[in-house]
Amino acid sequence: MNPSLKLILILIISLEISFKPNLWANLILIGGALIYLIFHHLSWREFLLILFFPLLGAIAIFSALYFFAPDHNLIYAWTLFTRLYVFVFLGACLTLTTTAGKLARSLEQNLHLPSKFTYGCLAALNLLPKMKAEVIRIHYAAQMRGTSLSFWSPRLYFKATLVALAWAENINQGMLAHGYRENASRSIIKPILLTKKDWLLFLGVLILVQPILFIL
Amino acid sequence: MSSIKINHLSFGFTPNNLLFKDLSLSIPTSSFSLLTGPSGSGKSTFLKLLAQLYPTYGGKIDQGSIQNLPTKWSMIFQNPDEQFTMATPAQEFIFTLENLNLNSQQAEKRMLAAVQQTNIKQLLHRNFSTLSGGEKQRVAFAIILAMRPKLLLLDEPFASCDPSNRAFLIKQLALLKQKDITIIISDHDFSYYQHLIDQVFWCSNHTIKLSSLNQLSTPKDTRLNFIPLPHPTPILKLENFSLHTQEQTLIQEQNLSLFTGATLLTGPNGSGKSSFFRVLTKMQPYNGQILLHNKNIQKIKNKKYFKQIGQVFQDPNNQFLMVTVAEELKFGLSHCNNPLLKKATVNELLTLINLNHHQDQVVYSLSGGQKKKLQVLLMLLANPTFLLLDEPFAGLDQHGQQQLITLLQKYFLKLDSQKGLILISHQFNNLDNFFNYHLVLQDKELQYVKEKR
Repeated sequence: MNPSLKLILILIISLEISFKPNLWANLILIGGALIYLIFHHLSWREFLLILFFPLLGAIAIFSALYFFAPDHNLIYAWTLFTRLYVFVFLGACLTLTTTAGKLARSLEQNLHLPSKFTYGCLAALNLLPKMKAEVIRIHYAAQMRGTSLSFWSPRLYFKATLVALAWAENINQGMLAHGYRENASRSIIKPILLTKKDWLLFLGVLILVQPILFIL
Repeated sequence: MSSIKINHLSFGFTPNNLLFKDLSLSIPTSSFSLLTGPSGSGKSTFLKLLAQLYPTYGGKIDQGSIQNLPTKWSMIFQNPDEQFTMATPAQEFIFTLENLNLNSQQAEKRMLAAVQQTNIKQLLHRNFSTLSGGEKQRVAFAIILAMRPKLLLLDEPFASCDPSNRAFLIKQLALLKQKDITIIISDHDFSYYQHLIDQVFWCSNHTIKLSSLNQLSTPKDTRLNFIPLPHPTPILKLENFSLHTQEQTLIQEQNLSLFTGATLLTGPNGSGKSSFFRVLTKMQPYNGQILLHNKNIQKIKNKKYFKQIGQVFQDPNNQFLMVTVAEELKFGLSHCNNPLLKKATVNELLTLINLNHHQDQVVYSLSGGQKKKLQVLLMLLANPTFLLLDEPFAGLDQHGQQQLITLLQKYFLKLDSQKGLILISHQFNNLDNFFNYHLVLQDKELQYVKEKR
């Protein structure tokens, strides 16, 4: 499906389940998302990560509602427990099947978001792995100068923030050097298609979810 | 012939400290200009003024103006990491050509031609983070070829290039020159492309003046003499060592020692010199064992290890921890391990590297060459046993290079005979008789060479 439509669909469904507690709907959505992901070659590693990553938070919500709330409502506790998983699985449907670059280009081309916003976000995303390496490097560079910055040291993050600010400015200058101008029109070399099929899929899933959510 | 005109321009980053005072200059268009001068004299700043990146991103024009600037410009920055927005060269191409509002046929044609001309097809879909400095520079040139700007600004574009890559890129520059493009290049070492230069501008003392090639001392022959030590002691030993990245093998399995004294490390772009340094600083995984004084470095705690192994990073910004020059030096002094520098004052340290009036300047705003000098001094204060230096001469003029070498000799190598350093450089001026050994990384093998270069 078109990345922008996928994003909007996931946002709408997530918003709906936030307002309408429905255990069955949650379970069906998780199942649906899982089938979609398996269809897109979900690996075991990714599956286990999706499963374990939110577990702690989900257990905390569950125990708060079941053990510590006055009415000990088991169904409600399970509903909120599964709701967290719906969010994570739906999110995975986007992040595991669409690259950030594709999504950014789709937002620019299909939703006509300002190019500065989309490319700014994209450049920031490209910086994330660099940032991670940078924090380790700052750590080592400090040790080379006879001081140890712990991972909670303010100086470490102050320095990391400085680096990020410098990068932000460099990205801006780099973009300008490669011909980017904020309000100039840009051509589209690699179009992201938004087809009838995309719309049909989008509306189909959206309509299908409503009875599950409100009748079941 | 038309020209870019600079009229009585005054520009500075702080109100009381102007970098250019009442600068008037005319640069002929469709010609090749060299901008040279001491480190920190404002060459990079001047190029960014022409690109109109300044005053947009810093500084203020007090008076005067620049007229007749072509709107279609592009720039190759000193640090190739600052060049790219996207994750891969292919994506960067598309981004750039979309900016120029080209349709897909035009874009494809230009991209194919540029890729072919610069021979970067195999790099197109690799992540920028996996490319070497020289490879990035090649991609930067390819994108320029596809862009066809009217004004091309190059800020020491060959600093991280090996001789063959440099020769290749200079050939591309010569082709660009024929295409009615105004090219302005800032550089210290221009001996390789003197034949392309139409006019020379000398940048110093807050102004830029027309000069000529004969007035400039060109760097001399770069043959180096190495002086082997009588009793070299190994500091680091590599045993059954090999180095692979996701895409390729950089170093095949081998045994090797790194000795006390000074070692020069050279090798073609992309051969893995910087990766080898990352291995020695535990930032990149490898196979086999590395021993520091016969102890496996993986078994030495980082805190203890980095007391003995220090690095002058290729990107100077990695070195700094504080904000201003004085703060960096004060911090260095409070953790000082160097008996010769322990009792020095901040002012004495500033004098050592000619930064006397810069104590309150933010370190990130120093010029490329000034940063290098500060970096080296900071590592000398820390005083490790073994020092890695990655391109420490980038952005430095002859005088600055000489100064660094003197510092390294006086405050590091001569402290005691158990010290060692290994230095990556593509420029060899002033380096005669400094090194004891020459290590070459080529064809996936690290090897000591004995003969003169």
